[in-house]
Amino acid sequence: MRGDSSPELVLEAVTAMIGTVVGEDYLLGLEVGMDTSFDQDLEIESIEFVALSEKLMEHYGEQVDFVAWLGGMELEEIMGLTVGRLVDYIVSCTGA
Amino acid sequence: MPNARANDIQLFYQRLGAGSPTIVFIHGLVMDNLSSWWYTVANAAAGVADVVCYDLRGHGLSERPESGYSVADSVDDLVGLLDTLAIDHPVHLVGNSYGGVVALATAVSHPERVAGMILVEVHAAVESLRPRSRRQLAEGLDLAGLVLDDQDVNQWLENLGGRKLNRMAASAKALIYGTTLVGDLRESPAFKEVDLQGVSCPVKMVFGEHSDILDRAELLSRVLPNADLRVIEGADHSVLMGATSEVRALVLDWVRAHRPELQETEWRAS
Repeated sequence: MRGDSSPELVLEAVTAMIGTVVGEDYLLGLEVGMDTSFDQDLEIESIEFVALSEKLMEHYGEQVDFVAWLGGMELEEIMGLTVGRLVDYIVSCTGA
Repeated sequence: MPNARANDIQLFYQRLGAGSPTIVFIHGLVMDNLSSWWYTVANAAAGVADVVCYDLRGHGLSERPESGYSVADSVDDLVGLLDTLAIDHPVHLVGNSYGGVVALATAVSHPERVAGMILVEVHAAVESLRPRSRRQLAEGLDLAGLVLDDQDVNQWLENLGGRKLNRMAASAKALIYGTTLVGDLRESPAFKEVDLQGVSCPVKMVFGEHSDILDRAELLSRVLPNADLRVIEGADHSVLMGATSEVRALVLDWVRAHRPELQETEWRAS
């Protein structure tokens, strides 16, 4: 999906997927940006993050290898992930 | 979302990686779900193996029926999941706390499905343990689920934000008060030594040096014919979260040892 690989569009897509996982209503009072932390800001449950990864894999398919990406991280690193770091990773895989 | 119909309920699962062997991760009770393995070890293991992790009945994103929470039910759920996923070859079970109990019970009742096990802080009740320890599974559950002044539980909860805490507490309450889980586990029989002596597959047991259930490690080491014990220095019952890198390395070593066809260069690259 090269057409949607700009950071802005990826952020938009990721934000929409977060909304489907945590509920659109919950996101109404929050602004999701590149600096937003999944843990501290969104307070996303770990099982919700698993569900989000599932949606990301469905959306981006094999071109984005989340399993390998996450498999190389320590627990603290995953807990500290920001939306921006995820978006940057997706952009680096999908390429403009 | 991957849900599998198993033993007449919907179980949420993740299938990661590919190839051989197949490693199935099983999480602990109540305030736990597949994410504890997914965040720590499962994704890394998926680089070198076929990986399944799933939410136990009533946990995470799996269905939460009112009943069916005995150890035997958990075994039926796991075997049902393997059947649904068409995994008919023997698998390696990696269980944490209660997950280890499910693994051990599966090896006792379905030895043909289990190639090996890694049991992390396995909360197994064995008949020959003193009576207090036999009751500890259910008592420990009460403590974790209901009594929030327990030091470990409190420390863990402090790390959670408000939304997470509320959601996990609501989920734990629904499981404890809305299902037969506590009663079902109290009624689940302890393992018989003679059954454990029949478990011939290789078993790696991992316990924390300061674990409050270290007595099980000693007993199981003695009774299981092919078990090897690793005690992690400085760790307590929360080995998976407290000594994640050691557990991950141990699981990856286990995969390497049970995947002889893997070339050393390929292993290093992974």
